[in-house]
Amino acid sequence: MLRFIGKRILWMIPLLFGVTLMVFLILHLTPGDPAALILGDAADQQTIEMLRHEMGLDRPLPVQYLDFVWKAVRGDLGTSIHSKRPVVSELRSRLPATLELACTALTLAVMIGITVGIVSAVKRYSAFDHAMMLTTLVFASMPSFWLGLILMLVFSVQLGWLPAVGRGGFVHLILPAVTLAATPAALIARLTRSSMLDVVEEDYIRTAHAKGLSEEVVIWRHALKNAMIPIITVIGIQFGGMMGGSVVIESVFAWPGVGKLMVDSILTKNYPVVQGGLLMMAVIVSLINLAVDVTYGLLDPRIRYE
Amino acid sequence: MGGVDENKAPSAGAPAARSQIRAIWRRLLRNRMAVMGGCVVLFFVVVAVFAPLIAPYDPNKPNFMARLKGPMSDHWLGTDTLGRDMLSRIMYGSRYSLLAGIVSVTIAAFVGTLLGLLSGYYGGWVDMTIMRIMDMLLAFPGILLAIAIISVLGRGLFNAMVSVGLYSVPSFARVVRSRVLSLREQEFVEAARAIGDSDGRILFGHILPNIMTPVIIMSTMRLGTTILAAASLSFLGLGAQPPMPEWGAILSGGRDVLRVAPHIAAFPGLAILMTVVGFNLLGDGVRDALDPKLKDK
Repeated sequence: MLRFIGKRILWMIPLLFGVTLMVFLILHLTPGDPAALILGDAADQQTIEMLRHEMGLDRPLPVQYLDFVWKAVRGDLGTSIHSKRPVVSELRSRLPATLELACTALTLAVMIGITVGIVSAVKRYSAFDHAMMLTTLVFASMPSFWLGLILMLVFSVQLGWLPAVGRGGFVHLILPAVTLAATPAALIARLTRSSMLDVVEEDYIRTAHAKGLSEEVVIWRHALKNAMIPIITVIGIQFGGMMGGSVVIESVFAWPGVGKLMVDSILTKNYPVVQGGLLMMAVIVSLINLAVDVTYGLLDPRIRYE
Repeated sequence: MGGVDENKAPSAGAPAARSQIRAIWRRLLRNRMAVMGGCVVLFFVVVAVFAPLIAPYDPNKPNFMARLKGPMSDHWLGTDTLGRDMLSRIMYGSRYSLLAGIVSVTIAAFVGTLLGLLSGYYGGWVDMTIMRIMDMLLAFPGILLAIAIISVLGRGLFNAMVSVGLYSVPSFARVVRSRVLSLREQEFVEAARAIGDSDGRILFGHILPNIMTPVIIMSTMRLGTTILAAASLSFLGLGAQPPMPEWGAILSGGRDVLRVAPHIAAFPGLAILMTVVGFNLLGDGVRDALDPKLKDK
């Protein structure tokens, strides 16, 4: 097991190098000169050249890349073009909001998704099963930003029960978290149902039934444990997806997280912040994937030997 | 995923192929949900094709005397902030949204299939390099990769289609690679190699026709996702730009007037939802018809 974990951690090194390369290239493939962008239209060529030199943009690309990685490792992701603050400080001040939203949404999605999936599988082809499959299909197909606006319209504008935008106490979290959780909950429910249906057809479940164990014990102690293997992978993928999805939801609810900062930065061509935000999100998602793989290996010994 | 025509040499003959297509078609038509999904998709395709003939108004023509009107006899779905007819905008919008889905999936299927073919067939460093690049792309979750690509290409609907297409490439590449890995050891591939067929002929003449089933299944199933992603980008202001009546962009225009004119955000969202549900039902049906083993999973 240790060898499996070690191999997986070692793979993170080239992966992160690749991710930093892609993020680095974004700034360098973007049309226009970053120095000219920072200085604006009024700047003359000499001033632009001076800033290019100061930023190291006149050096060969590989040297710039190594410098970018070296600085990133030390926590220096450059300076925001607009606020002139270090990008790391900007991201650090926004990250808690994004994590708060994503973690709450994930908890909701897992609780609802797994419960609905198990009940649907146990009551296969019942009215509940059909209703849930239809509901999950609708939620899996729904544009999250639209759901957010509809919830905002009903619960904030019409009923006045919940705040529409911004971050504050728990009440501010409800609408964005429910919106972000809706699609993942639907996908987790569908996968849990199908995974449970696969497992309940296995011989050992028949044996458990034949031994006279109650339905609850068979479902919770025998079936669910084995059905959880693919579900955990999907939960991991969904958490990564939520970090990405938060970009849209944060914009809908004016939630002051990394996602909203990134969209605002793209619209204002604040590339160092876009670059830093992407790198941070990619590193977080890679670490989540690592955790999922290790959990996967712990749950299913066959995977370690592949 | 396995298909009905898999593991067979591609020279099965035209009559056999025709009867196979008929069997698939029959299975698809027997699936009520798939037929329902297909009808919804067909409805929007017809609306998109005939929008200039059936739309009651010019979708971009403002009418300042009729701003923010709710649904009424003159404007069935109301008007927007500039008094433009919402029904006409949504009708024309189906052109852009469907196109966004189709172009994105085509890019993803083309690039992903090519990379998966090369990766699975050649193995070694080619496989290693391609798959590690795919892993790196997957480190940028969901729409984040599309946003990263947009930040390079710039805003606009076409760039949104390209970025959504590229972010779907890894899914296609992985599925195709895994199929190629099992196919390259099959007897018909070895036979082709033995008679001296070139790598290109083996890849595109023998292996490619045998991996089309999973590619078609994935393409149909991803159409809904790509339409959603393109609409999300337009909603954020990164995709279609005003006055283009793309659904995500129309919906975005309704955010600021949600209190006084909720219909502006409601109707385009409903159109997106219906189309994506249609494609998802159809995608499930196509998967079940092409690969009955996967039914009910």
